[in-house]
Amino acid sequence: MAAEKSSIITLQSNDGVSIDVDRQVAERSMLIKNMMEDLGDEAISTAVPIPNVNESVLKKVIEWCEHHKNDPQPAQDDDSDSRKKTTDIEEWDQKFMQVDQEMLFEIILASNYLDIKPLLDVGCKTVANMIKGKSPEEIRKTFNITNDFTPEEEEQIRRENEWAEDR
Amino acid sequence: MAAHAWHPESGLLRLPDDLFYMIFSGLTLPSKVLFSRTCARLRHLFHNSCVLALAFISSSEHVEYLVGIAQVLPDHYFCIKCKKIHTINEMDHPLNPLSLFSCPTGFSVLNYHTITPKLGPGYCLLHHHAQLALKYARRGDTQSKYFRQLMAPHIATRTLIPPMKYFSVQPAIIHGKFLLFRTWTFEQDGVMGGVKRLELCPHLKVLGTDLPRRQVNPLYETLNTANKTKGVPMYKACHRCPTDYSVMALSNHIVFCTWQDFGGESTTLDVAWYIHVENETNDKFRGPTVPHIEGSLGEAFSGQIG
Repeated sequence: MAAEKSSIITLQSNDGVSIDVDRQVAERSMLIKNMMEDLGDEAISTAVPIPNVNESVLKKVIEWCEHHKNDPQPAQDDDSDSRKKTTDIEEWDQKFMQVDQEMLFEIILASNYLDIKPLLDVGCKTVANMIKGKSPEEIRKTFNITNDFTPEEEEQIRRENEWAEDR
Repeated sequence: MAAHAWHPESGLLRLPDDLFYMIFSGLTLPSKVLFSRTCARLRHLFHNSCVLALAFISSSEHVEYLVGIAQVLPDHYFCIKCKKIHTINEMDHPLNPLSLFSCPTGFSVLNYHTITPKLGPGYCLLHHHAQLALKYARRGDTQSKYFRQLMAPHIATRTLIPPMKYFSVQPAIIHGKFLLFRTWTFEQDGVMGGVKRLELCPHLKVLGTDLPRRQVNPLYETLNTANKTKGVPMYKACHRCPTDYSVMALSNHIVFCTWQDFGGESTTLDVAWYIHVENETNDKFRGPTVPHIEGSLGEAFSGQIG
C-alpha cells in the first residue's frame, strides 16, 4: 500500500506537456484520487489528461500540492465549516498566491476543476482580501470591471445609499 | 431593462457563480454590500442576500456595518451623534469644527462635551476627524489638503486667559493610532506655579475649586516635585488612560506636556476614544481603565517626530 502511494504518475496539461508527479502529491486532487481508485494501476501506466489546465498553471498547482502533501485531506462535507469564516491565509500560501491576476484566477479555476478544496479556499480568500476595504469604484479598477449599470439601476443604488442622504 | 454585457476582459468575471459565492462568503457585510454594487452581474448575484442580511442585523450590528462602510468610502464618515454616515465637509476639521453642535442631518447635540474630549483652547478634535485621518493614512491619501488640515498643528498665544502663555497641539499617526502631543506654558506664580485650571485628561486635572483635594491628586504631587527640581522635567503617566505627561518648572514658567493615544480605526465605538472624554461614566473617580506602558507614548512620538 505504502509503495503504491509513493509511485509516480504522469499528468498531461491541455497544451500537451507531460509532468511526472508523485501519486501522493497528485492525490491532493480529489478528481485524480477518485480516478486512481476507479482505474487502479492501469491509470499509472498512461498519462492522465488534465484538459482544463495548461502547463504553467498545472506546475503551479503541483507546487502547492507538493508543499501540502502531508496535510490531512478535508472532509467531503467541509463546505460550511469555520474555514469560511476567516480570510486568514498562512504565510507560505500568501507568498504562493503573489501572482498576477490571470494566474490567480487560473489557479482558482484549476483547483475547482481538480477538486482541491484547500487550494480553492486559499484562492477565494486571496480574492476576498483584495476586495475588502475597497469601494465599488476601487474594486472595478482592481479587477478591470466595467460599470455596466443602467441609469435606472444607478438611481436605485443611489436611493439605497441612505448614508449619503445627509442634507 | 437594458441588456447587460458580461466582461470577458475581467479575470474575476470569468469565474462561475458558485466560486463567486465562495468569495462572497469570506467578506464582511460592508464589503459584501459594496462588492454587490460593482456591476450588474454581481448585483444580480448578491443584492438580495445583502438586503436580507441587513434586514436581520441588530442595531449594534447596524452601527458596526455603517462604521465599516465609512472606513471604506473615502468621502464619508460615521457620525457618533446621529449614528449615520455623512459625506465629508472639508471645512470641518479640529481648528474649525463645523459639525460640533449639529451634524449634517440637523441632529443637534447641545451637550457635545459628553462625546468630545476637552483638549485646549482653539482645538476641538471630533471622533470623525481622528477616524478620517486614520483612514486617509491607511489608504496613503496623505497629500490631500483635507488630510493636512485634519493633521494640522495648532498654537494658541493671544486668546489665552492669563497666566497661560502658550498652548500647542501636534497630532500624529503612529502605527495606525491617532496620537496627540500637547504643551501648556504658564507664568510662574506662587506655589502652584500659577496654574488655576488645567485638564491633561479626564483623570488628571487642576481646578481652582479643588485645592482641599490637592494632596490626593497625583498631578499636584508631580507639580510640587517639579517646583523643587527646577529645570528637570518630571515624566509621569495617567493610570486610567493612555496619557503620558511631563511637568517642568522653570524660574519664570511652568511647562506641561501630554502624549495621548486616541486609538486606531475602530469597528465599533470603542473605549480607546471614550476614555479621553469626560462624562458621567468616565471621570477621575469612576469609569473604565485603558492601560498602557508608562512612557511608551512619549517615546513613540519622539521617535516619529524626531
